[in-house]
Amino acid sequence: MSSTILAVDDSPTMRQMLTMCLSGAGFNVVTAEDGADGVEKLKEHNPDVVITDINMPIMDGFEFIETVRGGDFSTRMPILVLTTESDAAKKARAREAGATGWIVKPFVPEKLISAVHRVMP
Amino acid sequence: MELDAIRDTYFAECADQLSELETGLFSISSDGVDAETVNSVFRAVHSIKGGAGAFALDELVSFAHVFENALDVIRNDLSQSNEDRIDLLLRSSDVLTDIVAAARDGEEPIDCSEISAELEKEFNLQPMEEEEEVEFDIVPISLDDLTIQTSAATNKFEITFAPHNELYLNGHDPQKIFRELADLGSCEIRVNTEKLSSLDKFDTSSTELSWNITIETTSLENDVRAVFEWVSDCCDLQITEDETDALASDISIDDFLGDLSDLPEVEEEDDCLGEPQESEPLTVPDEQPGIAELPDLSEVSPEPALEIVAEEPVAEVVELPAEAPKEEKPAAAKKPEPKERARASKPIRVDSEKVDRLINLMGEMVISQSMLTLQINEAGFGTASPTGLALVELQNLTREIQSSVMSIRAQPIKPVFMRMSRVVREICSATGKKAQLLLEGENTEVDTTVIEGLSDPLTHMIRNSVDHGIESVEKRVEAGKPETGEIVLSASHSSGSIVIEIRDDGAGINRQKVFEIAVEKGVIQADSKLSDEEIDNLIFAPGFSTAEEITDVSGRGVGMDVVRQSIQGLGGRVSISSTPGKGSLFTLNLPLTLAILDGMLVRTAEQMFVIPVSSMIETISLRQQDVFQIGDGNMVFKLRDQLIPIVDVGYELGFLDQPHSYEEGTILIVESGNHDMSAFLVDSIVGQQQVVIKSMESNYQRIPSIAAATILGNGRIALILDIEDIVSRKTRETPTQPVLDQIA
Amino acid sequence: MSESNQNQEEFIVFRVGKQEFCIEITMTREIRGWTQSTALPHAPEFLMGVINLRGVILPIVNLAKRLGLPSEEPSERHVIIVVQVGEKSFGLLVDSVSDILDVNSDDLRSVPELNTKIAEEFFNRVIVLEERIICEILPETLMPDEEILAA
Repeated sequence: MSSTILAVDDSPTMRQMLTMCLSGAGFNVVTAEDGADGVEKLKEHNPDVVITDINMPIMDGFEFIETVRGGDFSTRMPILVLTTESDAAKKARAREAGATGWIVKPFVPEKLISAVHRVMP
Repeated sequence: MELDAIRDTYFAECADQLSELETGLFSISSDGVDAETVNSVFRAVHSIKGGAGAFALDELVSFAHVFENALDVIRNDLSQSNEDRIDLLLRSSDVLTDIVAAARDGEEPIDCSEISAELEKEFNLQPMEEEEEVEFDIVPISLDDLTIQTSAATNKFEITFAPHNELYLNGHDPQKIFRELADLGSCEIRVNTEKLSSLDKFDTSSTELSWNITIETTSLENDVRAVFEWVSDCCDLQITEDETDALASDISIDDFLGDLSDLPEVEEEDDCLGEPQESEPLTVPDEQPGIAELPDLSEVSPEPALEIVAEEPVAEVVELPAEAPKEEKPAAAKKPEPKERARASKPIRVDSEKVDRLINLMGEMVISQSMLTLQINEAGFGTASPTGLALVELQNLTREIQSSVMSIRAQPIKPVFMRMSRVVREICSATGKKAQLLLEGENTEVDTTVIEGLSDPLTHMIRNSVDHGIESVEKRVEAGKPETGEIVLSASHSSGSIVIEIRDDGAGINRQKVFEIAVEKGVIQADSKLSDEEIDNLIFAPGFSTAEEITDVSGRGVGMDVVRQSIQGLGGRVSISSTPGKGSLFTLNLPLTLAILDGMLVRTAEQMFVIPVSSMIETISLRQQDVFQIGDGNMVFKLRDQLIPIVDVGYELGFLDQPHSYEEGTILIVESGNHDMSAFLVDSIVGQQQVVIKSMESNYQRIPSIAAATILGNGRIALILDIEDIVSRKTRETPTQPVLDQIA
Repeated sequence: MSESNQNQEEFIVFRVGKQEFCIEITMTREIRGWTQSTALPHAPEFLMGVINLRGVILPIVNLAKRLGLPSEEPSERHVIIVVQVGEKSFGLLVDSVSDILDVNSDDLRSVPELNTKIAEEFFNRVIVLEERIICEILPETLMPDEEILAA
């Protein structure tokens, strides 16, 4: 049974790239287009790993992570933040919100996969 | 990886984002900054940048980066915006659009160094430097047993590591951390259970374990510390270098894990998912997935064992998330509730070919229905009979389906209008004039086919307005006008057609000059007597455009006559009116749809014609006493207090050699675009029906007085009259209204 | 040595009045019987009107009139040849279709110097067979120019 990854990003291009990359590596991929959608999908699919963007409409990445960590669903799954922004303040904020790891985009597929593998048992 | 498939998605997304960007900036420039709009504008550029990197569109990435940073300045502090900055941002969005287009079409990248520099200067940005993430030791991940590395220059570190609750809450797993350490070198890991309470006092919500680790590695202290980078805030960590000898024994991961399993087990509480849980690494790792600590992962190199296989492309066009059905999930079939989300109904992308086909089929259905109606009538079924009623039912249904289908293709005219704001910017920049574009009714919906055909003519007319209409700043000030000229572009529906107006507050048309040019070009005779309005509309005459007008800026060799032809090709009309010193007004009339029309079928001169119902006011039986002659052969019809010029349809169109007799017939009072009325004389009215518009131009060409043709229920062709054209020809011949008023 | 096919062209041959004419077959689309056409206002005399060809509006040129030959009232005995020039199609009203011929290049001549405008305007080559002279018509010359109609 393959593992499930939830990818949250408002860009259809990014969602498509993540899906192709990750499903090509054998994962089940579920996507969401903003934080609120992400929360819904997470409840529904209970993924093993979550990858999320920060800048999204309706509910941004920070709020999404906070909601996940504080909610009544499993709080322990790894959440990787995938974003072009790389300043320290944002990283700290993400960490505070409860993010597990940080990947800068544009990502190289191989690196994304290995990052996921590191997180996934 | 199949990047090509995604490329299309990316550029389609770029188009959406650029549109979002332009709309947002436009709204900021006219209504001022607000957080929501700035955020959405920022996100648009951010998204474009995000995807660009994947396709190695370096130029795009770097410009988008600067642009994004500029926007960020305003995003963080709204007071940072001002008119000049907004203008710079607008220009930047133009540049961004161009760069994206060049990237999409595989053309030479555009040089944007100048505008980048401007952005950096204006917003005080740091020159762009991609921040490097903390370097991480690039070690291939392998879970094989590690043997001692006794290579030269090994360092030995002592580490004490005591996680706080937060560490676990953030999804970290000490087990993973230890694995990473093990990648750096050989480790000896000893758990410290001193603080562990006895079982009866055990608090599952807090952690009491810590570890002492000795690591021997060729890496430096920073590298070791980097392993803990993510958790440094949520644990007590001490790393000290140990000068003593390296570890001598073989450590393997399995041993390490075996050690851990000797420790008291802690129950995982499945139900209290909300509560912080004790970490699981104490048990053998077939538990819940561990949570890894992740330092900057972008530096991690690929696992040698990992194969990345490009599979078939993901679902394209209409977006569906890849389903992940797991047996344990009863909720898999349930859809997420949309009500929590404040989002309008989602648009879907459909191939326009499919829509076109649907519309064609609709057209055929209308014709088929006409044929059926005819047959039913001829077979003698009355309208009240069951057959008759069923037919009426069918007709209603068809009408509704038709409305729906047409509305699918109807889109707001906004995107076309938005493009015009860029046109204005460019012209102002080229001519040194100042002008602002204001939009009205930009959400008016128009059929796609019409929208596509509008872009070019509108562009030319707007260029014309700025180039010839709006005066230079000095002249405007002299004339007591505001420095910045105003161009209002508006759209509205009006009885079955779209009315688009371009109004400027410039100098108006220089009638004398236009007259002279027209004479010079042989468009009119030197002694022609023309009304002001007629002179104004000379600019549309073929052959009028002057070389001196075709500057680099206005039209690129295209004159107003081509504009008029384009509009007519869409089945519309364009005219201009102007007030010297005050400004000019272009008025465009376009059909709402190019496909189907509500028509009044009439018979005259043994031919069938169709008159658009939207132009009709009323119908009256002709009585001889209502007909009067004025001057030389101009017949008018007296309707209550008005005298309305008569148009003898059969005769005017050349189907009759003699004028229609005025003893009997039917009069249809029609109204043309500028509210002039005419009395169309025909033999009789056949009936009202929907007709499918068939263009004459596909196989033939434009015929004066005729808008298009249609195929009737009996297979015969009926010509659809071009009311505007017929009336305007007629008005050139009949005396003007004042004369008529006198007589009345 | 046999006549190779590459030197052959195919033509559709039809009759107008007493004369035979032809058109390269690649430009013809179909042949149909006559149907009543709907007249167009202010049209030149040779343009009879339009007919409904499976939902498409097709203009019809009365070839006899176009060529300045005596013509008669169209009827069911006449035939319409649908031709295509570029993107546009239209129909030619002729008396009847006589043949479809494969013609060797040997039998094709250029039009002789004649004094008539018609030859200049409409003809391209001539097929010369034993007892027949068949003038080739270029369809693209038959439709009226736009200026004529911009009344």
